Amino acid sequence: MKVSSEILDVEEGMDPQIILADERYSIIGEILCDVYEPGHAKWSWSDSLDKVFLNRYLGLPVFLVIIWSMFNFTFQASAVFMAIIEVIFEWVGSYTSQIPIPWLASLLTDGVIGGVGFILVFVPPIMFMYFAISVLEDSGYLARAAFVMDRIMVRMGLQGRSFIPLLLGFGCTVPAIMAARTVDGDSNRLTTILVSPLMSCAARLPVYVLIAGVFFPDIAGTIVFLLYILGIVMAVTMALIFKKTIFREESTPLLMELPMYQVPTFHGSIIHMWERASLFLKKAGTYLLAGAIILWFISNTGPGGFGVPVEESFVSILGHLFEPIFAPLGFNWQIVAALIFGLLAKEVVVEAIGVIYAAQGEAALAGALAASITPVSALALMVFVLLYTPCIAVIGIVRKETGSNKWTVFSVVYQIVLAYAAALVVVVVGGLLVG
Amino acid sequence: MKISVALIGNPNVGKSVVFNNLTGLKQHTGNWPGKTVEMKEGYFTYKDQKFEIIDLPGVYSLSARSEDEQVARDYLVDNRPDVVVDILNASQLERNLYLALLLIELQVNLVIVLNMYDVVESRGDKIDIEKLSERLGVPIVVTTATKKEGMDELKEAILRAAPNHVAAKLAGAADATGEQHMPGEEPKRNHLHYHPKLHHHGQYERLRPPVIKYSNRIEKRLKQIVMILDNEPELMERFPPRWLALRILERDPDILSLIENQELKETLLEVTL
Repeated sequence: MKVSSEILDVEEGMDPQIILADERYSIIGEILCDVYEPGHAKWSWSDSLDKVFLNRYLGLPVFLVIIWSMFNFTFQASAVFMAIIEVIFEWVGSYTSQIPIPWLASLLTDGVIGGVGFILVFVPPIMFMYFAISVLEDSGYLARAAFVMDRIMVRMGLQGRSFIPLLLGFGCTVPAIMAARTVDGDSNRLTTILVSPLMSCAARLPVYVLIAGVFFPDIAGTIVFLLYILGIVMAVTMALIFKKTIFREESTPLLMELPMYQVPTFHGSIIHMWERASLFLKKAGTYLLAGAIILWFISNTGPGGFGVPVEESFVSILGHLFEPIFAPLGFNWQIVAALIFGLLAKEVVVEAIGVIYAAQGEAALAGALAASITPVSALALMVFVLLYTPCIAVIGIVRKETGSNKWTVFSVVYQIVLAYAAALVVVVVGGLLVG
Repeated sequence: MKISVALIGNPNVGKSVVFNNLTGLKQHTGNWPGKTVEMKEGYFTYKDQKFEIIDLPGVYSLSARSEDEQVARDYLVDNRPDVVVDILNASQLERNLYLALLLIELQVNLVIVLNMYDVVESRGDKIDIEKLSERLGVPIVVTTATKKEGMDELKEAILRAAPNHVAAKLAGAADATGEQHMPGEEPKRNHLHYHPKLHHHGQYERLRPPVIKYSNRIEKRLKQIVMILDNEPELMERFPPRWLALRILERDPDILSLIENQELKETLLEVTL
């Protein structure tokens, strides 16, 4: 509903909404004067914590340190468990590969274990990250983080309220886009919907853990931290670009209730962690299992029929078809194919890499990966995964929430272009630095 | 027939805890046609009276600028629930009372809940509940929802706040109290207490007189606007007239767009603060 602008232009002086709001607050003030008597001001540790966490200068560094610690914790705590799961699946695989029926042995070993089993290795980091996030959330810090970011975003002329949906995007992009409903104004909301996918969701974590673990084992936590920060920076940058080019709308200040600090309950964090892990396991047992079987099938089937070597399979044909586009980034056809399947869901990237290399008969995936791309390309790969269209569910929710095919297509296309451009920058700059 | 109750409040005031306490498991998430914001619906029985309760989205105001506010406001304006329960964070009274004032403007049957009262007590703050209730002209219940304290008092307050004719009709009385206008009756010229058409019980609703009045400067203009709108029965019957006048005075785009007569609109917009 729009009002003809010439009528609105007639009004002069103060905004009548503000006059009425003032009136209401003065009445509230009068009433409170009458009925409310504050207790003796007590020293509250909540206030003194806020002095640090919400400090104009300290707020951001503290936020960064906390998030960085979170990722390092995630990595270090999960390393042992990941190794255990890996060993278990290797052991199971050593039996399934002995099955006398060759296609079944291959399906179970390369498809199911190589794909789903491989993805399950990443359950521990996901669990630990959710544990850390839930501790931060329950303690009341996450709301402060939103507040700190709000200040920065408002200074840049952005709608600060968007940061809450963006924060949700650390978990999953779908609820983040749905949460954009709380953002004032249509164009602010649309901006939030468009940039939410740039925040790194949990599904992308396995890709980082895999690649960073192989190429940068000593600083893996820091690398993942930097990727998350890059996601935030890109989201803010793109929001700013959209704001300056496509949309122009006034933003209203963020009015946010900061919950009191609380000691998070271990019980609560465990429940949260388990909820997330079981969601992931459900996904692994259904979609990802189906995906692994399909991937295995098309990795072993080509124009020549079933049972062809990977090099002659449909996957290879698909990978080779798009390989030239990604050649400047230094991605091989296996990775290109994995990225294409990754449009369905980001876990599929890891799954596809697992299945394809397994079908190639590469037992030691880490070594095979390290041999096939350079560390700079590996970094570019992570940046690409961070920024390109998260999954098919996100495309669906963008369509539903914007109600527009045009914006949905735009959302997908701009993210792929942005991902490519950013990865290219990494390769060029990285190439210069490495020499 | 059920008494319809709407639950509203700022975000993070424990609204859903109150909702869960009231309804227990008798609830489901409703899908509202054309709306993207989900609202939960639930039921409870108190003193043999059935209540149907809806959990509106948490909002700070009703300016209809975000979708949440739009949904909450549309629901209150279009459905006119029998009782509206506004849940306040008792430890943040100043900010939370703003929404209460907006609801008083809407002239609904309001019950105010001061939730999180344990925080107020632990801080040693004192709130004169009786006086506050008197000043606002609204019954107030004190609760600590997380400890399930004050829930029976709240149910009692909701029952008492339900409009007489609804309660009377439910009690089986053939004739409701003579206070409200019946369809076809010539309305008194007291426009600020006019009754919106077609309340969901099929009867004209008697609006609660607004206890809180604004400064003369504003009230005078409200009367002026209501006078101008006298010949617009469609608008006047759809909204509480004083509320309508306030929105026009505020230049509310949604309301202004409903006025099709350009001449009338310009006359209305000449009334400014």
